[in-house]
Amino acid sequence: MPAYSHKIELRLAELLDDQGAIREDGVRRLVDMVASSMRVAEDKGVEEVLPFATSAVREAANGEEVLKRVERRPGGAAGALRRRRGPADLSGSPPLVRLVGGRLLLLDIGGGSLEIACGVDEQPDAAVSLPLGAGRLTAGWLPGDPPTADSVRALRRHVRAQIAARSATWPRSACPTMSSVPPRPSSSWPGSPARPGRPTARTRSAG
Amino acid sequence: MPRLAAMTTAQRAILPGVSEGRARQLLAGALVADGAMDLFGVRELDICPWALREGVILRRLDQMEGVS
Repeated sequence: MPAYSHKIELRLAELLDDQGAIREDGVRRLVDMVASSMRVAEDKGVEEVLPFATSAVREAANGEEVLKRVERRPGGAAGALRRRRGPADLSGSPPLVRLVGGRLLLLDIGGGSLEIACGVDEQPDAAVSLPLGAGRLTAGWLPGDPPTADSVRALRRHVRAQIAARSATWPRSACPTMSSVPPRPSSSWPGSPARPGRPTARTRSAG
Repeated sequence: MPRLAAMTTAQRAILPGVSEGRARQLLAGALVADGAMDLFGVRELDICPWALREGVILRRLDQMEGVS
């Protein structure tokens, strides 16, 4: 259990311009968020800050410039945001760390990217990051509320082409026996009701 | 999936476990999950509440143990 949690949703992947750069309002939000978070950390007596940037920043056309602006802020996390995400890191999956036997396929659907990794312990045998985050795709492919059937179909085709290009060459030795998805919408992910009698052991836990 | 695709953001937000902030992204996320499961031949998923942040913390804890 965390002693304290402070979270601000930026959804940067939804704030990209035509060139794939984070728009000015998004950059301002990010800079302000880092500054206010550093203040919160001070207030709570935090000894060490471990900043990291997800693909929404890492893969943005103006990512470098954005990071510089974050670092320029006094009290900003100098240099630290450069410890960027990826390739997908299985240590982010606690079930895997404690899994005994059996391979695990990790699917992490974020706002900016889809991370796919597979292995038996913390070091993945195979890992890939695709620009298929839910926020990025929603902003780029699904205008309208609800979106048109055509746009849904087009996005479905795009997603599957991107994944198939990787899954076709995925090492067979790294085939999954189970998998994990940590999206925000939690346990009610459509199509994945808890079912008893799973074939493989799993550990979820502990925290 | 067709049902989800026909829903508005407001309707998706009412689904159990879906936050208002994520409701708009739900369909795209579902299309990715569905495609990945299908193409990797995965029939079931476990939902993991931990993600990158926890991974960064775990790695840091490992390093600290290595030092001491």
